Amino acid sequence: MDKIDDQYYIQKVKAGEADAFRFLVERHKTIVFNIVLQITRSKEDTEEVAQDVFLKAYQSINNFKGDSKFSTWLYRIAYNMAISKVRKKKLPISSIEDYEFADHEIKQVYDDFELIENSDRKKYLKKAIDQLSSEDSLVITLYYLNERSIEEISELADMSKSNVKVRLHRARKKMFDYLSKLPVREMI
Amino acid sequence: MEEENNIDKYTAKILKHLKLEKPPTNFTENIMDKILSEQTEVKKIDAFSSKKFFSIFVMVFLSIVLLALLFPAGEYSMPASLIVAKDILNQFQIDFSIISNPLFLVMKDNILIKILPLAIIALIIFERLLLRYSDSWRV
Repeated sequence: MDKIDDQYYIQKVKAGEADAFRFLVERHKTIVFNIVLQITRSKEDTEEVAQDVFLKAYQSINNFKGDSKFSTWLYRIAYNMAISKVRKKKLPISSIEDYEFADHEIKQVYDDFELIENSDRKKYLKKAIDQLSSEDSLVITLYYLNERSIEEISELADMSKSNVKVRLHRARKKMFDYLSKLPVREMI
Repeated sequence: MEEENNIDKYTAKILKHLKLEKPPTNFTENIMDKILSEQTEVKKIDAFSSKKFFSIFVMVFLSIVLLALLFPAGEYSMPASLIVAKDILNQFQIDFSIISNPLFLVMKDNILIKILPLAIIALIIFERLLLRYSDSWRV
Protein backbone atom coordinates (compact mmCIF):
# COMPACT_ATOMS: atom_id res chain seq x y z
CA MET A 1 0.00 0.00 0.00
CA ASP A 2 1.29 3.48 -0.87
CA LYS A 3 2.24 5.82 1.92
CA ILE A 4 -0.48 8.31 2.71
CA ASP A 5 0.38 11.60 1.06
CA ASP A 6 1.64 14.49 3.21
CA GLN A 7 -1.28 16.52 1.89
CA TYR A 8 -3.73 14.28 3.76
CA TYR A 9 -2.14 15.12 7.11
CA ILE A 10 -1.67 18.78 6.19
CA GLN A 11 -5.40 19.12 5.58
CA LYS A 12 -6.12 17.50 8.94
CA VAL A 13 -3.74 19.85 10.73
CA LYS A 14 -5.29 22.83 8.94
CA ALA A 15 -8.71 21.61 10.10
CA GLY A 16 -7.54 21.78 13.71
CA GLU A 17 -6.37 18.19 14.29
CA ALA A 18 -2.99 19.05 15.73
CA ASP A 19 -2.21 15.41 16.45
CA ALA A 20 -2.02 14.69 12.71
CA PHE A 21 1.18 16.72 12.65
CA ARG A 22 2.86 13.81 14.46
CA PHE A 23 2.90 11.83 11.17
CA LEU A 24 4.62 14.67 9.35
CA VAL A 25 7.24 14.95 12.09
CA GLU A 26 7.87 11.21 12.01
CA ARG A 27 8.21 11.18 8.25
CA HIS A 28 10.57 14.13 7.89
CA LYS A 29 12.47 14.31 11.17
CA THR A 30 15.58 12.44 10.01
CA ILE A 31 16.17 14.62 6.99
CA VAL A 32 15.40 17.85 8.84
CA PHE A 33 17.76 16.73 11.61
CA ASN A 34 20.54 16.02 9.12
CA ILE A 35 20.08 19.27 7.20
CA VAL A 36 20.42 21.23 10.43
CA LEU A 37 23.31 19.06 11.63
CA GLN A 38 25.30 19.63 8.43
CA ILE A 39 25.00 23.38 8.90
CA THR A 40 25.33 23.84 12.67
CA ARG A 41 27.79 20.95 13.19
CA SER A 42 26.63 20.66 16.79
CA LYS A 43 24.26 17.99 18.05
CA GLU A 44 22.99 20.22 20.86
CA ASP A 45 22.14 23.08 18.52
CA THR A 46 20.70 20.64 16.01
CA GLU A 47 18.20 19.22 18.45
CA GLU A 48 17.02 22.67 19.47
CA VAL A 49 16.86 24.08 15.94
CA ALA A 50 15.22 20.97 14.46
CA GLN A 51 12.46 21.18 17.07
CA ASP A 52 11.98 24.87 16.31
CA VAL A 53 11.76 24.02 12.61
CA PHE A 54 8.76 21.76 13.20
CA LEU A 55 7.13 24.26 15.57
CA LYS A 56 7.53 27.00 12.97
CA ALA A 57 6.17 24.71 10.25
CA TYR A 58 3.16 23.93 12.42
CA GLN A 59 2.49 27.61 13.13
CA SER A 60 2.80 28.57 9.46
CA ILE A 61 1.09 25.55 7.95
CA ASN A 62 -1.83 27.70 6.82
CA ASN A 63 0.62 29.63 4.64
CA PHE A 64 1.63 26.42 2.85
CA LYS A 65 -0.37 26.53 -0.37
CA GLY A 66 1.02 23.39 -1.94
CA ASP A 67 2.85 25.14 -4.78
CA SER A 68 5.93 23.08 -3.96
CA LYS A 69 6.29 19.76 -2.19
CA PHE A 70 5.73 19.92 1.56
CA SER A 71 9.16 18.36 2.08
CA THR A 72 10.86 21.13 0.07
CA TRP A 73 8.96 23.80 2.00
CA LEU A 74 9.88 22.18 5.32
CA TYR A 75 13.55 21.62 4.41
CA ARG A 76 13.80 25.22 3.35
CA ILE A 77 12.59 26.33 6.77
CA ALA A 78 15.20 23.98 8.27
CA TYR A 79 17.93 25.40 6.06
CA ASN A 80 17.05 29.03 6.83
CA MET A 81 16.76 28.47 10.58
CA ALA A 82 20.05 26.56 10.73
CA ILE A 83 21.81 29.29 8.76
CA SER A 84 20.45 31.98 11.05
CA LYS A 85 21.55 29.97 14.11
CA VAL A 86 25.06 29.72 12.69
CA ARG A 87 25.09 33.44 11.89
CA LYS A 88 24.04 34.29 15.44
CA LYS A 89 26.96 32.26 16.71
CA LYS A 90 29.17 33.88 14.08
CA LEU A 91 30.55 30.57 12.89
CA PRO A 92 31.94 30.35 9.38
CA ILE A 93 29.34 29.12 6.90
CA SER A 94 31.51 28.31 3.99
CA SER A 95 35.06 28.49 2.86
CA ILE A 96 35.98 29.53 -0.63
CA GLU A 97 39.20 27.57 -1.01
CA ASP A 98 39.41 25.49 -4.13
CA TYR A 99 41.09 22.18 -4.56
CA GLU A 100 43.12 20.55 -7.23
CA PHE A 101 42.90 16.80 -7.34
CA ALA A 102 44.42 14.38 -9.75
CA ASP A 103 41.63 12.59 -11.59
CA HIS A 104 43.48 9.36 -12.17
CA GLU A 105 43.72 8.87 -8.41
CA ILE A 106 39.97 8.66 -7.88
CA LYS A 107 39.74 4.91 -8.39
CA GLN A 108 42.88 4.33 -6.38
CA VAL A 109 41.43 6.28 -3.43
CA TYR A 110 38.23 4.28 -3.66
CA ASP A 111 40.06 0.94 -3.80
CA ASP A 112 42.20 1.88 -0.80
CA PHE A 113 39.16 3.11 1.08
CA GLU A 114 37.36 -0.18 0.53
CA LEU A 115 40.27 -2.01 2.13
CA ILE A 116 39.94 -0.16 5.44
CA GLU A 117 38.02 -1.83 8.26
CA ASN A 118 34.34 -1.00 8.28
CA SER A 119 34.34 0.94 11.57
CA ASP A 120 37.33 3.03 10.47
CA ARG A 121 35.70 3.68 7.12
CA LYS A 122 32.76 5.44 8.79
CA LYS A 123 35.07 7.40 11.05
CA TYR A 124 37.21 8.74 8.18
CA LEU A 125 34.20 9.38 6.01
CA LYS A 126 32.62 11.46 8.75
CA LYS A 127 35.85 13.42 9.10
CA ALA A 128 36.01 13.91 5.34
CA ILE A 129 32.51 15.39 5.35
CA ASP A 130 33.15 17.48 8.44
CA GLN A 131 36.03 19.29 6.79
CA LEU A 132 33.71 20.53 4.03
CA SER A 133 31.95 23.85 4.44
CA SER A 134 28.43 23.63 5.91
CA GLU A 135 26.77 24.31 2.58
CA ASP A 136 28.96 21.87 0.66
CA SER A 137 28.40 19.10 3.18
CA LEU A 138 24.67 19.81 3.11
CA VAL A 139 24.58 19.59 -0.67
CA ILE A 140 26.55 16.35 -0.79
CA THR A 141 24.48 14.79 2.02
CA LEU A 142 21.19 15.74 0.46
CA TYR A 143 22.27 14.55 -2.96
CA TYR A 144 23.86 11.22 -2.06
CA LEU A 145 22.32 10.22 1.27
CA ASN A 146 18.84 11.63 0.87
CA GLU A 147 18.76 11.20 -2.90
CA ARG A 148 17.33 14.67 -3.48
CA SER A 149 17.46 16.08 -6.98
CA ILE A 150 19.58 19.08 -7.91
CA GLU A 151 16.35 21.02 -8.58
CA GLU A 152 15.05 20.29 -5.11
CA ILE A 153 18.33 21.19 -3.42
CA SER A 154 18.53 24.42 -5.38
CA GLU A 155 14.98 25.29 -4.29
CA LEU A 156 15.41 24.55 -0.61
CA ALA A 157 18.87 26.09 -0.25
CA ASP A 158 17.98 29.07 -2.45
CA MET A 159 20.92 28.42 -4.79
CA SER A 160 20.92 28.29 -8.54
CA LYS A 161 21.16 24.82 -10.10
CA SER A 162 24.59 25.63 -11.42
CA ASN A 163 25.68 26.72 -7.94
CA VAL A 164 24.48 23.36 -6.55
CA LYS A 165 26.41 21.53 -9.30
CA VAL A 166 29.56 23.54 -8.56
CA ARG A 167 29.24 22.84 -4.84
CA LEU A 168 28.70 19.14 -5.52
CA HIS A 169 31.73 19.00 -7.74
CA ARG A 170 33.85 20.88 -5.22
CA ALA A 171 32.60 18.80 -2.27
CA ARG A 172 33.40 15.53 -4.05
CA LYS A 173 36.90 16.69 -4.88
CA LYS A 174 37.53 17.92 -1.35
CA MET A 175 36.28 14.65 0.04
CA PHE A 176 38.50 12.57 -2.23
CA ASP A 177 41.40 14.88 -1.51
CA TYR A 178 40.99 14.28 2.22
CA LEU A 179 40.62 10.52 1.80
CA SER A 180 43.62 10.35 -0.48
CA LYS A 181 45.80 11.76 2.30
CA LEU A 182 44.88 9.07 4.79
CA PRO A 183 47.76 6.72 5.53
CA VAL A 184 45.65 3.90 4.17
CA ARG A 185 48.44 1.46 3.38
CA GLU A 186 49.76 1.68 6.92
CA MET A 187 46.33 0.97 8.34
CA ILE A 188 45.65 -2.17 6.32
CA MET B 1 32.69 14.58 -18.49
CA GLU B 2 34.01 11.07 -17.96
CA GLU B 3 36.00 12.31 -14.98
CA GLU B 4 32.84 13.85 -13.51
CA ASN B 5 30.94 10.55 -13.92
CA ASN B 6 33.81 8.68 -12.35
CA ILE B 7 33.99 10.86 -9.28
CA ASP B 8 30.20 10.85 -9.00
CA LYS B 9 30.09 7.04 -9.19
CA TYR B 10 32.79 6.55 -6.55
CA THR B 11 31.39 9.25 -4.26
CA ALA B 12 28.05 7.45 -4.29
CA LYS B 13 29.79 4.15 -3.52
CA ILE B 14 31.86 5.65 -0.72
CA LEU B 15 28.95 7.50 0.86
CA LYS B 16 26.96 4.28 1.03
CA HIS B 17 29.04 3.53 4.11
CA LEU B 18 27.66 6.55 5.86
CA LYS B 19 24.24 6.51 7.52
CA LEU B 20 22.09 9.49 8.33
CA GLU B 21 22.16 10.59 11.97
CA LYS B 22 19.02 9.63 13.85
CA PRO B 23 17.24 12.24 15.97
CA PRO B 24 16.82 11.41 19.69
CA THR B 25 14.09 8.90 20.51
CA ASN B 26 11.88 11.46 22.29
CA PHE B 27 12.20 13.99 19.45
CA THR B 28 8.65 13.64 18.09
CA GLU B 29 7.11 13.52 21.56
CA ASN B 30 8.86 16.73 22.63
CA ILE B 31 7.56 18.54 19.56
CA MET B 32 4.05 17.21 19.95
CA ASP B 33 3.98 18.14 23.65
CA LYS B 34 4.83 21.72 22.75
CA ILE B 35 2.34 21.82 19.87
CA LEU B 36 -0.52 20.33 21.85
CA SER B 37 -0.01 22.60 24.86
CA GLU B 38 0.24 25.59 22.54
CA GLN B 39 -2.95 24.49 20.80
CA THR B 40 -4.78 24.25 24.14
CA GLU B 41 -3.76 27.82 24.95
CA VAL B 42 -4.90 29.07 21.56
CA LYS B 43 -8.21 27.23 21.94
CA LYS B 44 -8.77 28.76 25.37
CA ILE B 45 -8.13 32.25 24.01
CA ASP B 46 -10.39 31.58 21.01
CA ALA B 47 -13.09 30.15 23.24
CA PHE B 48 -13.11 33.01 25.70
CA SER B 49 -13.23 35.60 22.95
CA SER B 50 -16.09 33.85 21.20
CA LYS B 51 -19.54 35.49 20.89
CA LYS B 52 -21.10 32.33 22.33
CA PHE B 53 -19.02 32.68 25.46
CA PHE B 54 -21.57 34.94 27.19
CA SER B 55 -24.57 32.63 26.63
CA ILE B 56 -22.59 29.57 27.74
CA PHE B 57 -21.34 31.45 30.78
CA VAL B 58 -24.91 32.44 31.78
CA MET B 59 -26.11 28.87 31.31
CA VAL B 60 -23.33 27.45 33.46
CA PHE B 61 -23.82 30.16 36.10
CA LEU B 62 -27.56 29.44 36.30
CA SER B 63 -26.77 25.73 36.57
CA ILE B 64 -24.53 26.44 39.56
CA VAL B 65 -27.21 28.50 41.29
CA LEU B 66 -29.90 25.93 40.59
CA LEU B 67 -27.71 23.10 41.83
CA ALA B 68 -26.99 25.05 45.00
CA LEU B 69 -30.65 25.86 45.60
CA LEU B 70 -31.89 22.40 44.86
CA PHE B 71 -29.22 20.65 46.88
CA PRO B 72 -31.20 18.77 49.58
CA ALA B 73 -30.85 20.31 53.04
CA GLY B 74 -30.14 18.15 56.05
CA GLU B 75 -27.38 16.57 58.03
CA TYR B 76 -24.67 14.76 56.17
CA SER B 77 -22.10 12.58 57.83
CA MET B 78 -18.63 12.06 56.45
CA PRO B 79 -18.09 8.80 54.58
CA ALA B 80 -16.57 6.08 56.77
CA SER B 81 -13.49 5.90 54.56
CA LEU B 82 -12.69 9.57 55.28
CA ILE B 83 -13.00 9.02 59.05
CA VAL B 84 -10.47 6.22 58.77
CA ALA B 85 -8.16 8.53 56.85
CA LYS B 86 -8.56 11.18 59.55
CA ASP B 87 -7.58 8.65 62.24
CA ILE B 88 -4.50 7.69 60.27
CA LEU B 89 -3.51 11.33 59.78
CA ASN B 90 -4.03 12.00 63.48
CA GLN B 91 -1.31 9.45 64.17
CA PHE B 92 1.10 12.02 62.80
CA GLN B 93 -0.18 14.49 65.42
CA ILE B 94 -1.36 16.99 62.90
CA ASP B 95 -4.43 18.92 63.95
CA PHE B 96 -7.22 18.20 61.52
CA SER B 97 -9.88 19.67 63.73
CA ILE B 98 -11.32 21.57 60.80
CA ILE B 99 -12.72 18.33 59.40
CA SER B 100 -13.96 17.06 62.75
CA ASN B 101 -17.31 18.73 62.10
CA PRO B 102 -19.20 17.15 59.23
CA LEU B 103 -18.52 19.44 56.29
CA PHE B 104 -21.96 19.09 54.73
CA LEU B 105 -23.59 20.13 58.00
CA VAL B 106 -21.85 23.48 57.76
CA MET B 107 -22.86 23.69 54.13
CA LYS B 108 -26.51 23.46 55.05
CA ASP B 109 -26.43 26.85 56.82
CA ASN B 110 -23.87 28.72 54.75
CA ILE B 111 -24.87 29.51 51.19
CA LEU B 112 -21.34 30.58 50.18
CA ILE B 113 -19.69 27.38 51.36
CA LYS B 114 -22.58 25.46 49.84
CA ILE B 115 -21.98 26.98 46.42
CA LEU B 116 -18.19 26.92 46.44
CA PRO B 117 -17.47 23.20 45.76
CA LEU B 118 -20.27 23.10 43.21
CA ALA B 119 -18.90 26.20 41.54
CA ILE B 120 -15.44 24.62 41.29
CA ILE B 121 -16.88 21.45 39.75
CA ALA B 122 -19.01 23.51 37.37
CA LEU B 123 -16.05 25.64 36.32
CA ILE B 124 -13.99 22.54 35.56
CA ILE B 125 -16.84 21.17 33.44
CA PHE B 126 -17.22 24.61 31.85
CA GLU B 127 -13.55 24.74 30.83
CA ARG B 128 -13.70 21.20 29.39
CA LEU B 129 -16.86 22.12 27.45
CA LEU B 130 -15.20 25.22 26.07
CA LEU B 131 -12.17 23.28 24.89
CA ARG B 132 -14.29 20.49 23.46
CA TYR B 133 -16.75 22.59 21.48
CA SER B 134 -14.94 25.82 20.75
CA ASP B 135 -13.80 24.48 17.35
CA SER B 136 -17.37 24.42 16.10
CA TRP B 137 -17.84 28.09 17.02
CA ARG B 138 -15.32 29.29 14.52
CA VAL B 139 -16.98 31.30 11.80
